[in-house]
Amino acid sequence: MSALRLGLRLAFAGGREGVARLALASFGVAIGVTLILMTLTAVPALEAREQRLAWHQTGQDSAPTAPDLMLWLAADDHVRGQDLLRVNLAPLGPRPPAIPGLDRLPGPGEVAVSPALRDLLATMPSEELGDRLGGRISMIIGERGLAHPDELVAVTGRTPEELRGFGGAVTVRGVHAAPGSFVVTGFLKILVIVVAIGLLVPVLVFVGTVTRLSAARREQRLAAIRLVGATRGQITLLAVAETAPAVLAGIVLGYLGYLLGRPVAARLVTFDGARFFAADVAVPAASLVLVLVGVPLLAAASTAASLRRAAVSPLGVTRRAPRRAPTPWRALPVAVGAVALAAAGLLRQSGWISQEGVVIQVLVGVSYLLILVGLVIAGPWLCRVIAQLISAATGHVTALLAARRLAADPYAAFRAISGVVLATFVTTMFAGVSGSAAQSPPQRAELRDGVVEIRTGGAARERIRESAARLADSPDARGVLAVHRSGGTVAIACADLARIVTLSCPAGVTSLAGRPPQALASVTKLVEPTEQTATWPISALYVQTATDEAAQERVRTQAALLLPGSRSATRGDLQAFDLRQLRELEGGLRIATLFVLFVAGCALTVAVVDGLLQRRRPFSLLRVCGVRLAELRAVVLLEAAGPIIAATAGAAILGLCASYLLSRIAGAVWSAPDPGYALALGSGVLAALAMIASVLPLLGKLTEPTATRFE
Amino acid sequence: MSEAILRATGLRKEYGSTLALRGADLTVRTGEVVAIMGPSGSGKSTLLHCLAGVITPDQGEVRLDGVPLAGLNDRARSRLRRSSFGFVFQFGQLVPELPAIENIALPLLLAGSKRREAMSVARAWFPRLGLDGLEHRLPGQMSGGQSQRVAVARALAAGPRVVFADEPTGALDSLAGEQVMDLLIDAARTQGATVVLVTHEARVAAHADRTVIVRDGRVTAPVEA
Repeated sequence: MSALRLGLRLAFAGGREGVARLALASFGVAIGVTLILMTLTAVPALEAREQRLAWHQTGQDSAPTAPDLMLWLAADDHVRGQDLLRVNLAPLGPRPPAIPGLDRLPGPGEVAVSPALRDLLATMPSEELGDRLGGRISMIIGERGLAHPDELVAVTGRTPEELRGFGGAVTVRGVHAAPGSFVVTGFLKILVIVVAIGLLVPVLVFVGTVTRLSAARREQRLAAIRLVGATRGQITLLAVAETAPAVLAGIVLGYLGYLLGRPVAARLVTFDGARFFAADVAVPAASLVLVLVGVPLLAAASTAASLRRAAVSPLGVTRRAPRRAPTPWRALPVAVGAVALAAAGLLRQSGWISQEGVVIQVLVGVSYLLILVGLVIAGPWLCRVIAQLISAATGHVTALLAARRLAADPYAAFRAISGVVLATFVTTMFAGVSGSAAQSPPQRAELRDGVVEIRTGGAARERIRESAARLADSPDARGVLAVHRSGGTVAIACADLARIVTLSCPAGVTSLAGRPPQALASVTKLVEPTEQTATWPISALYVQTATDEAAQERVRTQAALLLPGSRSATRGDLQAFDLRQLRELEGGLRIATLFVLFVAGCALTVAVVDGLLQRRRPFSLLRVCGVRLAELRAVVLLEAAGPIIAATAGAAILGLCASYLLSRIAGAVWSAPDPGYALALGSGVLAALAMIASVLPLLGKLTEPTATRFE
Repeated sequence: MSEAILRATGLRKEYGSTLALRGADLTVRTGEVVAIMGPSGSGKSTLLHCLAGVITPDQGEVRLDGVPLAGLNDRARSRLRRSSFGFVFQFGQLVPELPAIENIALPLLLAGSKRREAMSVARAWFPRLGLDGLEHRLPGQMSGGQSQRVAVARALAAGPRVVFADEPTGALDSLAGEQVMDLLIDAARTQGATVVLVTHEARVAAHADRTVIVRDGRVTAPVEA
């Protein structure tokens, strides 16, 4: 206990410098804790959305939730490129299932809408949107019934007779309550977890760095205490106790930062085109406890580990166990990965392997993994090689001093920037790939501009025919095509097919690859229409309109009125969906990169301060010898800024190469990432450099010749 | 008798309520080796730092070749220390990440010499230092005596006119201390450099041409060697 007390006393006994060190460490731990907690909100936020989306999946197989039944007809619709869910319902008794976010179900002629839809309705003519809903808006759906604050949902009350007449309505015994399996499962969940780990590791490294601040001075102090008889155990306890106040203060501040950051993150971060409710951006209690307990343990372990490497003997820090210098073998995995990716590109180009085959997928997957893991393994070796090359070639003192320091401990130099390397590589690669996807000309079956696809949603044939005729009379329609389908076989004339999708009429087309209109997806055979095929069910109507958005929305509104269970889509909706996913992944990775750059900036800043405190004496004496302060500043800046700039540039180049190869493999036209990418990356690097530069004035104070102790 | 290179008159310096120098006078001639001795806290290191322009006295002046240092701004004094002075401290002056040879070459590189030239000059010091083969050792891989010899070489590598040595053997055993002093005095005399050294050890002061005693902030007893 006395060691514990002494440790706590030492923590506050360092005068102004001690307090500054304590404040810096607390601040660092606080940032680390906030970032860890914010990162850990990712999966719960997605799961909360999944839970909120559950009632959208209501169907015949939903478990009973009320004594009485209800008729249910839901249709996925779109408006101005956004998803719109239209639900028509009719209770079949006095106690029907309840919908989350509504106190009661809307009666016949009543419509309940989400706040975002209410706002949108106020800005659009009713013939483009309002008329689709089929009633008078009398209720607003509460937060509990919405997947996200921007969701567009309308629930329209109907009489049972009315709803049965639409066709496609189902009888349900309850509103679906179990989360669906379409959002955060399988690959996406793994991806989220991998990204979360990728974000957490640099933060944990940062927390470790912060708690080892001024380790050299601490070791000297502990050696003095060893001299008067303290055991190794007592020394460890003492060191841990000394770091405890900073860690505990940091945890409290970090938790406050998390509480303040939640609403900000909910507003700024989007997934699937939508923001989050602040209530959903929350760390589960178990994880919260784990972090609040785990960080102090991590800090204690980090402190103890730093003491283990420096054997503190009564006569001082006698030896610092050196780590073996990294060898060239470390570059092997990344080299193999790069060669494998290039080989995949060559094999694909030469036609030896197909684009859709398993071989190419495995080859690309394995090489990508090898490059990612290889970058982390090769990093310290690359740092050392670059530092050695610079120190051998340069005649400039600042570059020499900086390069020698980097070469002296390449592991530490790379540790602070490993996250930057990975994040920049992945972000650049995705930016290149998504840029290429956006630029590539359509080569597959896609809806033509101006064509509105109306999937009939189980309505009766006569009603569909009647609706088609009414749509054809519309001033916005230039032609209506009804497509008959039986199983996987679709009857459509070649010329008609060419009018609705971006395909000429290729001979022998049996199926439509890529992203065809939804009613033509999973087609196994295309046949010319005959009298017999005219008796098949009509799966969809294709309405050709002018290409202006308002005309398409009016057609959709008319279709929804005629066929309330119908689902309509345009080329823009489908493309927006594809691009949104790619852009969102890219945007998410961009945020992740900025996050990692910020953490790296913090880590490097702390490392700079620590380095200054450690080298106060030699730097002060160099100043006495006439070395200018500007030269010392340049040394410190170069030591910290050099690796982050080199790592970002190197990883970006590698990412661009990988995106080029992947685009070639996918048969797309490669295009450089958009300027937003470069702007985001550049701003992140500049912000990190600004953070590092912010501590440089400290150098002047620490090395002031008049304040130097010479003895 | 050679001319005075450094002349301090009426130096007074206070640190808070502590009066470190109270009217110290000292003249150092070109090529001379002067030892400043005195008890702990007598003001000998403060006097050395005033002579070197590291600190500015509250009163009195220091002239180098007749030019008052007080008239120089901080930048000019830094340039002066870099070009005309060399320094040897008790310990911890070598840059820990630089190997011995680069530590010696440092002042030359700072003065703008080409790397090859600087390294060549630095390499030539090693046989003289008795450190052949240790060119690429880091300071942490050398003994205290070896490190101090490297520090002496660094102080003299750029050919300074005055070398200031503050307790250069304070952290060494007597044998290593002797080796360092022999090296310092021998190299300084060879180069014609003036040496001002602070020490509290009589055997170190014995290497000097002249010893002065500082007591209570004044140079009280010049002693001819």
